[in-house]
Amino acid sequence: MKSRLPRTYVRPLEVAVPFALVVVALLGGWLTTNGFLSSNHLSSLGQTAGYVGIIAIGETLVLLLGGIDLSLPYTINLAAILIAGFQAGGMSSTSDILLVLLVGAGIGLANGIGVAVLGISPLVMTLGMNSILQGVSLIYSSGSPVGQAPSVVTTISTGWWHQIPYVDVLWFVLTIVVTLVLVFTTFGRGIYAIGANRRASALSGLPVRRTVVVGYVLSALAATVGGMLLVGYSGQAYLGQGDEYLLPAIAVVVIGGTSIFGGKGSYVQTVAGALLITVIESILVTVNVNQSGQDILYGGIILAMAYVNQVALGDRARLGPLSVRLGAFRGWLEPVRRRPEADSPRNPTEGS
Amino acid sequence: MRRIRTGRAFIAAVLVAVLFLIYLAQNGSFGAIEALGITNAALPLALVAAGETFVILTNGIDLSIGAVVTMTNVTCALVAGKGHGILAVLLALAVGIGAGLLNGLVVSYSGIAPLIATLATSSIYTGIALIVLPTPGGTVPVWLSNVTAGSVHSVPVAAFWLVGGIATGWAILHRLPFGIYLQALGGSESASWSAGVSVVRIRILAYVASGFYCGLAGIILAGLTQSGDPTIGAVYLLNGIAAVVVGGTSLVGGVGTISGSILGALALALVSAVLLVSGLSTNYQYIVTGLIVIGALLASSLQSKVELRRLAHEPASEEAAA
Repeated sequence: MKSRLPRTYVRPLEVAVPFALVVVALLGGWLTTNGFLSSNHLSSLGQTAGYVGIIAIGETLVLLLGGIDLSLPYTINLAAILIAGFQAGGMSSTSDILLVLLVGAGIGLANGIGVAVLGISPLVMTLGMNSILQGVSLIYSSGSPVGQAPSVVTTISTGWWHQIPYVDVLWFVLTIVVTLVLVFTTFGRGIYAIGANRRASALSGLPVRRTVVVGYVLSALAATVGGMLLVGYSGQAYLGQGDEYLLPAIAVVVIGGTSIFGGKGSYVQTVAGALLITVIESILVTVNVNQSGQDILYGGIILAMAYVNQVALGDRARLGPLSVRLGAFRGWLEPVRRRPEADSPRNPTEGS
Repeated sequence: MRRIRTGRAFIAAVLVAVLFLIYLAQNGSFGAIEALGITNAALPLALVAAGETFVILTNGIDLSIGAVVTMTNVTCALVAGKGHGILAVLLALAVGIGAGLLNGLVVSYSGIAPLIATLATSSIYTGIALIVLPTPGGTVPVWLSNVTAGSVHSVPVAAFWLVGGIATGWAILHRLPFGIYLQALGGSESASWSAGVSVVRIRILAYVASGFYCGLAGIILAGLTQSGDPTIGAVYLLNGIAAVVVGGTSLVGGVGTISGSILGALALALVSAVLLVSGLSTNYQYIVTGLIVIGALLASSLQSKVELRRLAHEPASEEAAA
């Protein structure tokens, strides 16, 4: 049966490279900083990586589908504000959490319907949704969010068991679930197929629209869970809580080597990406690189890893130089239902 | 073909007209003060959107626009604060062009997708801006404020800039070879390449144009706020793309207008102005903006569909033959 697994799902080299870099980065930290590999510091690294990692589950799925989700910042922020606000309203923790998850699923559903059914480009749909959610967050909180996280969320977010943060246990379980779903279920394989070639998938009878909608719902749910965990971490909700997670959520997916054109990559690689960026940031902080230096290095790391993963390991080996350039501009901006060649006729020199 | 293109900017024009009428109905009057407020809010966004249009026309995307605005803004304010006004403007423009050039080179020669490449350079430019000016500060000479925030006979200077931007954009896209090649490149890269268009050079120039326009926006922001701010550009990233979309430029490249993007920016500026005079919380502005962006894209895709159907049913007409 092993031979029936397409190579797309299991690419040992592409999984090994980012994990090897994590080890290198950890060694680098050990050389530059005393106590870098102490269990306390490793735990706090794991905790920090956990938040980004869980939030990036959704972005991984959506990018695998060949889409993009830019509504993460305010999905996270709205979830954070709502969970704290509901708690201040004095309802039970369980119903609050379920309600917030329901809101998250609704956000994802709206994104998914916009992209898959109405044919709006994912970039614009999620960009517009982010703006709408920002307005909703501001109006709901009147500019000053109230309340605290439910105690169970605080425990999961910041609790420990023998130096193992609970959030990492959650992350580990989610990683296994996501990976199994991606590799072994029809839905998961459908994601790869649709990301690789949407039209072929539709012609083969895959439920393209349904899969895309579910992908966006899962993306919003991951962001919602991340938002609640962040409230648990900081103790309260504040406006702009999700802003700093948009770039990292996309960056860790790319650093892990998942192609933003869809169909190639895995969540395990994103886990490696989250670990790598967390370790590197920690090193930068401990050796006193200031914010500007961190920003510059961050950009450099994304560029370098994108080059290594997408060009050196993947695309360029398969395709000629010109088709690489073509490939770099096709795919992720398109509406789900049709290829651009099929609709808007363009003949730019005409009529001018 | 031309009808589709002008039709796309038409949506933004209608939106501007409707919003303006609502504004007029709510406010009762429209004088020099109101015009100044709206055009001054729209001008930097319009410039950023115009720059982004060049890149989106090539079927790429530039996510570093906000960071380039910041970088040029702080450069201008810092140098001008030391008493070199002209040098500050020239240097800021050079920084913008340099940033665009780097984007273009990375996108063209590394094979990294524009989304990722410009996301990464955006982080780099933000870091550089923080080195140049860690905290808000700097000053600008009086003449720079006057040519950006002032009025001439109660007409805001910004209005002249906006009209100039529309005229220049039209000339570049429809009269210069660069503009024609740009649209060809976005329409079909392989066909353009076969036709002898230097796709690499045109693409790099598109990113340079984006950097240049962001540089202008940064300088004008320095003039408007009379200082530099290392966080000023962040809002222009998403709003800049939103203005392009409202302006009817296709995100898959090849079809779009600079005038549409400038009108789109004007529409977004009018939204907050309308909410302000209606006495509604400006928090609603985000919701309205989001709905307008999504709605504008839906409307323009609907419009092209209708247009296509019309062309398909009239095979004898000239448009269909073309």
